Amino acid sequence: MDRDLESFFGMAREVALSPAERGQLFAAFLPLLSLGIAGAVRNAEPARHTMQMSKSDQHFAGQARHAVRLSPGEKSAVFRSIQKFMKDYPYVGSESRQTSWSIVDLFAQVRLMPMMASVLILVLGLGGTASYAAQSALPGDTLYPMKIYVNESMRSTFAFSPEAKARVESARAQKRLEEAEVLALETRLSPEHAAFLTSQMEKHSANVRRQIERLQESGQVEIASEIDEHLNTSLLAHDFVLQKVAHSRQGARREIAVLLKGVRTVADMRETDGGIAIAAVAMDAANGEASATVALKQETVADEGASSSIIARAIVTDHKAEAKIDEAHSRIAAVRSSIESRKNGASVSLQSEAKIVEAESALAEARIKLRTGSSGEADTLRKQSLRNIEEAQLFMNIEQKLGAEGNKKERSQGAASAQLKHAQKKIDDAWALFARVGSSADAEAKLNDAKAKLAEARIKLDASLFGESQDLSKAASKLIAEARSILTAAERSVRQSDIQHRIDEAKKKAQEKKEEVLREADRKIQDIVP
Amino acid sequence: MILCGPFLTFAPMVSGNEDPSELFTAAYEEYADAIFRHCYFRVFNRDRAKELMQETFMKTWEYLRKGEKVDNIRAFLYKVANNLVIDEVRKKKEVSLDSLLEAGFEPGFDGAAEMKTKVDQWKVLSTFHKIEQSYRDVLIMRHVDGLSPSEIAELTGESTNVISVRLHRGLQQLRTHLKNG
Repeated sequence: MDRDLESFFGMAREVALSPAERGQLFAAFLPLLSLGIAGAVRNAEPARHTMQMSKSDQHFAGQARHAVRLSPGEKSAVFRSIQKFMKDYPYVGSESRQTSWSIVDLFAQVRLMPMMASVLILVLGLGGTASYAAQSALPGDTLYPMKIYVNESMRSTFAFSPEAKARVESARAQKRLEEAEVLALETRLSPEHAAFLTSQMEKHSANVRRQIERLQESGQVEIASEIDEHLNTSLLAHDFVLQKVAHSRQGARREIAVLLKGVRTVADMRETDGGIAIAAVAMDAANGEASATVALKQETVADEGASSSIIARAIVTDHKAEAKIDEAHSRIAAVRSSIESRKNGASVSLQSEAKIVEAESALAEARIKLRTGSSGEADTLRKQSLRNIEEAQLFMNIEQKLGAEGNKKERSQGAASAQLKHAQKKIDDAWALFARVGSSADAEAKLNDAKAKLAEARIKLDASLFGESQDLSKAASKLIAEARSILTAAERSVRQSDIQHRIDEAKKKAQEKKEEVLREADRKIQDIVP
Repeated sequence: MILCGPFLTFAPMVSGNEDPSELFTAAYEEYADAIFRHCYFRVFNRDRAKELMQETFMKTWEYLRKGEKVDNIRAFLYKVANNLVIDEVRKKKEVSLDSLLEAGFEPGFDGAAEMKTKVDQWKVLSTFHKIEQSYRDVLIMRHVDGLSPSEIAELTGESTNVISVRLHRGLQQLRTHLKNG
């Protein structure tokens, strides 16, 4: 099988579930497996009601004890299921490659934190239900310490890669802000709570920043940038929410102000710390154009009153447009194959052929436009391409109806004329491109040459020398195509710096916007806390 | 350890020494990804593919639990999955990728995947989508799942001949689309 097919199937085979997904999906089976083990009940001797009650009582008790127990095989099977679940289900999609686990290993991990170990034992003793209930606890609740120091800590411990750690810490920072908001709404936000939550949020944000730096150093710049943007956007969203809560719960104003100051500090720190730098580096690192488009779109994400974080859908949008172009492409292919499948394919007019060629070139241009960020122009070209396809099909239908045979002379004339018109259109486009892109002596020479050839072709056509006319048109088309590729290459490099410029502009605007938002917040804080 | 509580409950003993849990867990370990992948390329939806994979294993578990023997668990899994996918496709009347997107309904990407992989995956999906369904199915079974033509024949109930022809035509179509795309 040829290489293209091999690589295609290779890519297909790489689709897989993430470790988190595998674990989650397997979790549904866990209770079943325990039941399955217990599925077939051993036929224990029924208790016999005899006069000698005490004896049969003993006997029954013995049977019960004997029956109600896991065999060694069952125990290890259940435990292996749990091991597997634990291995496959880290809290965040981390890359833990631990292959064999045991409770002993677990304690080895936490051996450096004696308090953790004793808390773990506590948790085991409680059977885990308490830790589950702690999830929704708020500061002031009895189970709140368990939520922070057990549940969250454990997730943090089992996050091994910088990416996983960053995501865990980011979630923790956001959780603290959520808790503050809920408390404030329930008018339970005391000054101590506010101070605690603020400092915790700051601590976790600092941790995120540290992990982001590690990611940057190890070259995972895109992920670093994504996490950075995500947290930043969430912080701003919480900023707005906190302000809104402050307006509706006047009694909590002072405490909320403390939190707002904290959020502002963290957001500020992150900016000067090179949040922008990350975006710039990410752009260089990745495939230039694609991630540039993503960066541009992320910059313009607004978060007015958003209560949940926003992740840029840029990639999907691009793919959507790309998919449409692919569809147009396959239609062209379909039309071409239907031409080939006709018995008298040779006599299909060059008019339809010309239309198809136009459709193809429009589509190729559409792709380039899309990849360099002009999705509007891309769509226009795509639609133009589709119109060309329809016209081609129309021509074909007409020809079929009129019959394939026709005057041989007319056909040649039609062919030559179509070829000439086609080439003329192409040269006009090429000149337009030349005007845009500018100097290239090579391209200019080719275009001039082509121009001369076309003039000659016209003369030959008028003199009914159709064959020669066609040859000249073809030669001209070839030259034009060559010139075009020179110019498009030149254009692409101009576009690169153009994109760079636009990104800088967008960043500046985003920066200004952020500053305005913060100034607003400042003013509002002044109102609340003079 | 948080899970230890609810799960180490007492339960009566098993009779006999058959333990389908072992086999099941091993099968999941080995084939969960493959079954998921198979379903994914046939229904073009990650979430639905995950559900179908789960259902496949669920049905397999039911079968095992009844004490039935399974010689070739891999073939069994694919057979169950194939039937589930056929039912699914019949119910849903193939939707085009385009309209899926327009409904805001993306096939879904693993959140942690890098962008280049996402682009690749999208290309693979959309290329597959262009191929005729009956050809596509066998291409997936042969070249993504790694089943032999005779296994595919057994699985689908067609003759080996028919399968070979479909494979050949499928590859032709695929080549064309790859060349033009």
